[in-house]
Amino acid sequence: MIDHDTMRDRIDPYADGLLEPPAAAEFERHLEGCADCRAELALLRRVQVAARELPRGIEPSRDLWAGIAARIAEAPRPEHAEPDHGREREEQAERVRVISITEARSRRFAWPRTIGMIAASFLLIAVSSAVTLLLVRGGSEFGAGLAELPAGAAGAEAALVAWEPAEREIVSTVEELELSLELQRDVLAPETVEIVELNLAIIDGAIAEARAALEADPSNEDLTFLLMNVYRKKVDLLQSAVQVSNL
Amino acid sequence: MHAVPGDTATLTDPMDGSLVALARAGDAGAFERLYRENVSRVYALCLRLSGDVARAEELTQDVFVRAWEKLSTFRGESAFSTWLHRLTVNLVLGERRSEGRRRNHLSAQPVDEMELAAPRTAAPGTVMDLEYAIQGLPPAARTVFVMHEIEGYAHEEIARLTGRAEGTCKALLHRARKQLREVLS
Repeated sequence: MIDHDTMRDRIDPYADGLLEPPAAAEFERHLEGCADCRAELALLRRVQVAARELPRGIEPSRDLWAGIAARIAEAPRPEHAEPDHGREREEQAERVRVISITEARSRRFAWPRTIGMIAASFLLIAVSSAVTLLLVRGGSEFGAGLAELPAGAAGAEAALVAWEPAEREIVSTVEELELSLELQRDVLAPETVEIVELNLAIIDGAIAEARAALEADPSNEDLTFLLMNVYRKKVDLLQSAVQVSNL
Repeated sequence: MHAVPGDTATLTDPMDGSLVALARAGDAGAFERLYRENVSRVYALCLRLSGDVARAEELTQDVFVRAWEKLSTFRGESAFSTWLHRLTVNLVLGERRSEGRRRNHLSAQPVDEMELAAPRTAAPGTVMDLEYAIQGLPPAARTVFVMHEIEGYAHEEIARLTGRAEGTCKALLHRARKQLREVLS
């Protein structure tokens, strides 16, 4: 016969489901005859339920933003902060490079700190370069790196057939987004509009380049996939711009 | 037990994604929006882990400044609130470990013994709810209770985050539960 104190020590692990079945069964038999342990277990369950029902949020009694704003004004911009890991450092270096490229193309703008879509222009510059690379190599290695694109399509013809309705759909989406953006153009800061237009111009250039390359080489499925991806970037950029205009 | 410790948000909110993108580019206004959306959650965690209003306010500010500095490491693979929650836990517990080391340096008394001894009690006559009772727990026991019972962390994870042995965490949880049962009974 196990003593009461030993059984009492099993209340927590029993409530957590950590007892082995024989020990749990033994404890349950003890519970049947021990009002104290039953009361302790019931109280523990009340505490657990109440803890889980506590509000997830509590508002501070004063606004803490002013202190944060003062400190982040002194802190490095997030894009320039030192990331924790090697991969993040590599990505950071890429972003810094992108902004440099983009800034070099747009010196007439007073570059705003508030534009999050800058990275999109870099991506499109990279995509545009990839079109050139594909044309030079006539190869397929770039397509293999596009994770979002369908792999192993059954030949260029099938890819093109599959692409046409997809292109119509994407173009339709793009047109709707462009309309939404145009309607909300007045709410965006002029600098933002300029940046969006700059990015759109780069994207449209990449689309035109990929389209022309595809017409010259309609059997190149990588170009088809690449064009689809460029369109996707355009949709992403427009969606971001529309969201920003709704803030 | 919660599926995701500390936060049930697992999907990336497109609006949060836009705000993060803007904040990353240096837009303090967008970051303020993220602050407004998340401050109550961060403050609640800081308050429950620290047990002190003034300290919780300081920690909350530290969390958002750190988040600003680390935004470039947010990949959008989880909700922003989930990322921020993890950052909060790491920051608060990191501070706790630093404080513990400082205290150990000043005192020969082991931290666990010091924290487990003489639990604070509420003022007589006070109508206590669980929130108040939690704040009355000794720091180490409170941390483990909050992380396990409220935030849904497993013992193994709590041990890793707090730098304590898993057995110690279980003992601290047992102590916290026992004290809360006594207070609430």
